[in-house]
Amino acid sequence: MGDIYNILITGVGGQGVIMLGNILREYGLKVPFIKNVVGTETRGVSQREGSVIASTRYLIESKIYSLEENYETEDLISPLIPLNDAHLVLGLEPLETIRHIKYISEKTVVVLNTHQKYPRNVIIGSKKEKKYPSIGYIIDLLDQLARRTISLNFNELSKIKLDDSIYANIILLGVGMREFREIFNKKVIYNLLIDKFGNNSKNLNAFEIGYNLINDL
Amino acid sequence: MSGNEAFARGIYESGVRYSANYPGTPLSEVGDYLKFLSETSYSFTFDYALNEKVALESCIGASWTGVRTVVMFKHLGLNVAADPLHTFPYSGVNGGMLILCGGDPGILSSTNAQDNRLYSLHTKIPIIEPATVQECKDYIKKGLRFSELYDIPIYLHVTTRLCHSYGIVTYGEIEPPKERGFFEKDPNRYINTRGRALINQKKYFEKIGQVAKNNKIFHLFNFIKAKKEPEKFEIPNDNRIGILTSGSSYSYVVQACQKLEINPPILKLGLIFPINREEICHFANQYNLNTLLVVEELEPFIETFSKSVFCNYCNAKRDLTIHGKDNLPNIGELNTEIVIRFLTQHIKIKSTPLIEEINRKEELLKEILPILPIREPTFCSGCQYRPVFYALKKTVKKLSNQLGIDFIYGGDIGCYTLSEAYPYQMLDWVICMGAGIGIANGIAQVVSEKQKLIAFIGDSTFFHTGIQALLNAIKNNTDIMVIIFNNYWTSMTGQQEHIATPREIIKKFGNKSTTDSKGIDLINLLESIGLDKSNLIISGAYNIEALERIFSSNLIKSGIRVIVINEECALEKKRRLRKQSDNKEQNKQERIYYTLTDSCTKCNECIEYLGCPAINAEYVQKEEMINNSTQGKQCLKYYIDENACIPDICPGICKSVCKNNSIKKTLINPNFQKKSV
Repeated sequence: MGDIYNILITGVGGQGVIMLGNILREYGLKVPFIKNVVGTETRGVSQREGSVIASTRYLIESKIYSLEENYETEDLISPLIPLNDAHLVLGLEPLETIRHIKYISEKTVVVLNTHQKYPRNVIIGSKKEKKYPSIGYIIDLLDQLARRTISLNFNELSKIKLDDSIYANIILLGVGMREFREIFNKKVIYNLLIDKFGNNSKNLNAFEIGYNLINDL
Repeated sequence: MSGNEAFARGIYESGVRYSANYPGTPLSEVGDYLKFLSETSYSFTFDYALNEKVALESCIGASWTGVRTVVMFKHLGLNVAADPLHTFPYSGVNGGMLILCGGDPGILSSTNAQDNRLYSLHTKIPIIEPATVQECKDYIKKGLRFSELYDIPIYLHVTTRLCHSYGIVTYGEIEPPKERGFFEKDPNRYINTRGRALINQKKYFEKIGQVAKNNKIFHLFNFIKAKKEPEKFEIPNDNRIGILTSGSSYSYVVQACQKLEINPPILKLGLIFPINREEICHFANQYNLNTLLVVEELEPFIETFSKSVFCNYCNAKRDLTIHGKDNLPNIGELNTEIVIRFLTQHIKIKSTPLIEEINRKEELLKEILPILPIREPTFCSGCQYRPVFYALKKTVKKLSNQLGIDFIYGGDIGCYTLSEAYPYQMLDWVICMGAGIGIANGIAQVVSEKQKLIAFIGDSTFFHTGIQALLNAIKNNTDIMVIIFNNYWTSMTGQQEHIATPREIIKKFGNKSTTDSKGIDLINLLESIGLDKSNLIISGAYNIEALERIFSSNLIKSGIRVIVINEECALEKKRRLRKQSDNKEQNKQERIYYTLTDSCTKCNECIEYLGCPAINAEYVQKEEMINNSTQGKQCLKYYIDENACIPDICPGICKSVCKNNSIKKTLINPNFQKKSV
């Protein structure tokens, strides 16, 4: 018997959505209390600057982390998260995060990168083109719906701390994992990052920064 | 692993000797894994065939010699392979043979959503469909054994969602493949002329009849999921409901039942065709059902068959009503919410908060989603197609203003289909592979001189089904300007090799050389098929001025003209070159990038008309003096993203279109200090 725990990653092609999805799935295989892992991602023509999402679902032993429902291993087969059922949303881009608001409810913790990536058609398109909603509106909406919303410009943080904005996704992952410490064993995830990026990678620093961020603030 | 990896693993475990494929979403990756396997294993052969028909035919041949084969392509590919598909089952197979075919009900990466299960109405080929990633692997072995039991091909139906899903897979035993096959002559069986075909057809139909009655096969692929034994099943009189489903829909049904906290008996079909009448009736009788709900994507395939079962063969269950597509959509993918709604229409359920919750959320979505801007996909940064479309658009604009000519663009399947999107918008139709030149053939022969035809096609598509259309245009000397993008790879599906990929750059996965062919040189081929020298122009992609000259002299000519853009896919070239210089450690190298200087006047030439995704814009807070007080103002700033720009491949197209000379080459050293060069 166990509980189902759902993580959704949203973003734009090239931001590392697929990579974060891979890390989360690999993590699910590494720890003994996660009994089953499924997931899916949208791909195809959406890759170049298009909208991308990845979902990961864990079946966790009830003792470890108590959520409201109980399931058998065979019950977790659908890779799609049901409506309102995400527990953690890693939003790499604000617009893409509210595009997938379907999954966000009072059980959700949202970690949002407020760095906006404007669609080209918005920047130089005609007047008829829909406007990019204001960041205030997006955060308000998430605040209304989610249990907790952590929003920050992770690109800027990454640029300041690590000289390059490309580590924003791993910092964000660190923040998200800290929020669910019961599930994410820091040591295991750290070793996984070493396997993936090597011993000296700045990604390790990025993860540390993210993991300790809430403490530091 | 993903569904696609599981298929490849299944093929590895089942002792498959030969496999062929033409890449296509959602199954492209399976071919990539098998290519790797063929270069590391001595007794496995894999082929990227020219098209799906060739792939299917070569697998039929291999199977006739007694070895196991799997052929795979996307649902649309089955149309190309439909000719042999309808006849070869009469002759049957010897080694087990699977036709692994990926459907795309949500049209995520295709041109239609056709339900390939309907092919079995006239081919009678049995269909199996997995529902989980584990089953993706298991069904390969099960399917091959099934195929060998009756000497018939088996169709393995799968959809995008499952191919791109991930799950835990338990490995099975590895059977080594049979090293060599032997073709045993049997004219009565393999020559399907009139009298013989009739006899073979009868034999084949009899086999399918046997499959439908085989209870062992039924239980090998199908199972009933119910929380309780039939005898103990608590059934309120008005709520005797069972569910019939298969594939991805099964996972949605399981999830919907969890959410609704109900446990109706579910018959999960893995073998969709032919339907075992006896077993289906048994299911209905066992649970004493009065309603059967059929949950499936697209067409009412299972529904139609189960209705016919209960109308004609199952006397005891005359009172059974069957619901399916009367309440479920036959367009698009299903999901848990759609299934929840469907179930609550027929099952009386106490708890309604869930439905209210869904309704509330859907109302919110209706309010929010329409105001969000969409993101249109575009070519990669530095892509070699971009300067071509840029130059073509400029030239066409000039010529149509001068001469009043209307240019028409025939589109095809490949990356160049993205010319449809912002900012080029040069595409008038996309139907299927090869239809760019094909349809242009007809238009060009009947329109007035004021309408001129341009047709785009890529190299892989050209060899797939474009070559016939071009030959036809050459035969009639039709007024079409054909642009062939020779980028050396089947790029859109993940840079697979094809017949005209230069042999020296072909990707090496393992040590075993799988080909000693020289391949075909596209230019040599074109020179030999009746195009005279003045009508066959070969050009690179990155010189915009040269391209404009070529286009302006060729656009208004009459007769067939072919322009070959000879430039490797920028993305693949980047990966290839970086792999070669991997050891030199990228980060420590100084690299040259293009950067925007302050003299930029935001004329939008680069960002709006060229549209390279490396050139970007962001809003910055800028302080301005207005009426003697400092005020913050939102201001658009353009910049070139260093992580996206690929200066080692693209020689700076943005620099050549910039009218103000604001784009400069910049040297960046590892400490991210910049200096102009």
